Amino acid sequence: MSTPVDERLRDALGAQAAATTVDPDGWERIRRRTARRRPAWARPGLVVPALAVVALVLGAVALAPGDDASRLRAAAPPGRLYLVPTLPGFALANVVVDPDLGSPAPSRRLRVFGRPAADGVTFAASAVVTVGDLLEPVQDLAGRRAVSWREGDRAVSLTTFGLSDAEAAAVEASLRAFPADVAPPDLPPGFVTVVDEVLPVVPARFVHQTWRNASGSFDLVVAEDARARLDVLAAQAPGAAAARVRGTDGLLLPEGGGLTWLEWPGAAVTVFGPGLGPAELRAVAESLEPVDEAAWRRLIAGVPSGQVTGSPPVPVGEPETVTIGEGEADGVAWQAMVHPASSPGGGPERCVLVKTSGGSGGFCHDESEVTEPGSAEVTVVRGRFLAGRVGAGVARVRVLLAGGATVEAVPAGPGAGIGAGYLVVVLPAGSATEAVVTLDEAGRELTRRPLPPPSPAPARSAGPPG
Amino acid sequence: MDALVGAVTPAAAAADRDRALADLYRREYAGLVRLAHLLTGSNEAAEDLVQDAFVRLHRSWARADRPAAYLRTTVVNRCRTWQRRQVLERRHRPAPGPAEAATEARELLDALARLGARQRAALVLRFYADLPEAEIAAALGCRPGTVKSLLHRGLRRLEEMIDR
Repeated sequence: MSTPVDERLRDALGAQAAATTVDPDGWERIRRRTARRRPAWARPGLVVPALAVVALVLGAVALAPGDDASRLRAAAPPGRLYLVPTLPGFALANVVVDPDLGSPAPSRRLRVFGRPAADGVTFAASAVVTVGDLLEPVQDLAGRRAVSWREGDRAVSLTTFGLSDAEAAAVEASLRAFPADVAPPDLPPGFVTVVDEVLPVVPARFVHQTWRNASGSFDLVVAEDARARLDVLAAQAPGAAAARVRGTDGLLLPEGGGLTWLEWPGAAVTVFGPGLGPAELRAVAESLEPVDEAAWRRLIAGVPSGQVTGSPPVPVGEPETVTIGEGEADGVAWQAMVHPASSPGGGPERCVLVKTSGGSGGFCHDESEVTEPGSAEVTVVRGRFLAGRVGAGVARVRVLLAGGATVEAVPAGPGAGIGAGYLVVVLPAGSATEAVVTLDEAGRELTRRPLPPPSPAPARSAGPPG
Repeated sequence: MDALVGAVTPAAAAADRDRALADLYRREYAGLVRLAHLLTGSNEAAEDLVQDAFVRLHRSWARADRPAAYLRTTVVNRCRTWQRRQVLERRHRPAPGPAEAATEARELLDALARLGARQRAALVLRFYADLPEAEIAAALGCRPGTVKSLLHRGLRRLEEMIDR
């Protein structure tokens, strides 16, 4: 008698598995990738400002409560870092999220040169050159020598520390001799180029939280920029001391500048506050914990009215699959869901999948694509379902069928998370679709679009999350 | 600010996560690579997909209350996505030569590779990973009854293919 197929399969799978090689460097690879962190967090176009924490905080203060909230983004992109302190007794008093700096955001060339100090983190001397449209405020703090001039219609500033007057003057003269954004600076020996590129003045994505208790307060700023680097900060911070914080290198900044570090590449975090010494700053820093969207929303909800500007959301991690409908059609169970996915090109997508015992189908779209307000984009799935998504203002969708019959559906609401704005409609067996009509809350028709008869041909099939 | 001085700070969540992830790696990584190899037929793809799953878990750590199950589900799903993308390539790939299909085990694995992704995943999770139907259902995102059917039909289909 021959061996049953299940036993033979078990043997074959075991033999094949035994032949599998496992990369001994797998963990290192994972660590490198998790340290780099995902692209969604590392959005381009943002940077830690030229004057590091000072400018960053200035940027936040300029848009603090009382400013026109309409200048702030309506919604923050998903997948970013939210950290909150867990120290007892403190309450969140104020939040600023993502100030809108206009379009295009002002930028300038930042050129930073520095002589590394022995600790490998800070700099013993530096020369910082900016060339741009804005005449940046520069101050002589902690020994920095600051000078600025006009070069045609551009403003140039040079801030140095650790240089003698003669050395600083030589740098200035060399920059004035040529266009300052390309002039080779006449620097003393030992200098290296830390950065030399065009960057935004202030990061467009940051969260500034102020926490208070009865005896004082502290501030926490998270600025996200794929190009944020600790050495760029260090080379602009005279008197900074290297510090270990949260298992990584950080900087203790002088003059109440606080404690700053990169929580991960692309996310610069700074803690500062009136009268706070290194121990207090470190205590705040070590207490920080990332929170998810739900926790962030709860936190924001507790902040006094008017003390939150910008957008409160922010998922950490990835949204999960959301069921937007389920039931039975002619005795066959079906379920419709929305889930995150990656396009073949690697970009983030959302897919709508309708599953039945006979198979599944659906469609995917780029996560960034937004359906036009008042309209609906639909596709017929497996001949029996109409799945799609709707734009803002659509309360219901009516499908017109041949012979005058109609079927209506309500899109999944905001409570459905990533499923919000999606819908699925079961079409009567044998029906022919003629048009889809979107309706507002009052039942007024918003748009009407003819539909071809059902055909099982979505643009691209959707699959389960993964 | 006295309250800040001497405040007992909880262990950094990130450090906890990384430690737990490292433990999970030691326990699960090799097994998951083998599982992914069986599902994809490619050792190289298996490594990549499992590493992807770990990276994904790292991002979603706060939500993953059962990290090992999360990893397995992610690996299975990513293998299925990978398989879908191989379909077109496979159409243009030459058929295996006689040497490759020489053994019965090879024949069985080739037959397994020709099954649908869900049937194949169900069979591998059952007969390689020894998972109960409920856990297979969780990994595939379907009902236990569906798993039963996938296994039954999958085995029958395998028999048909190798008996030809």
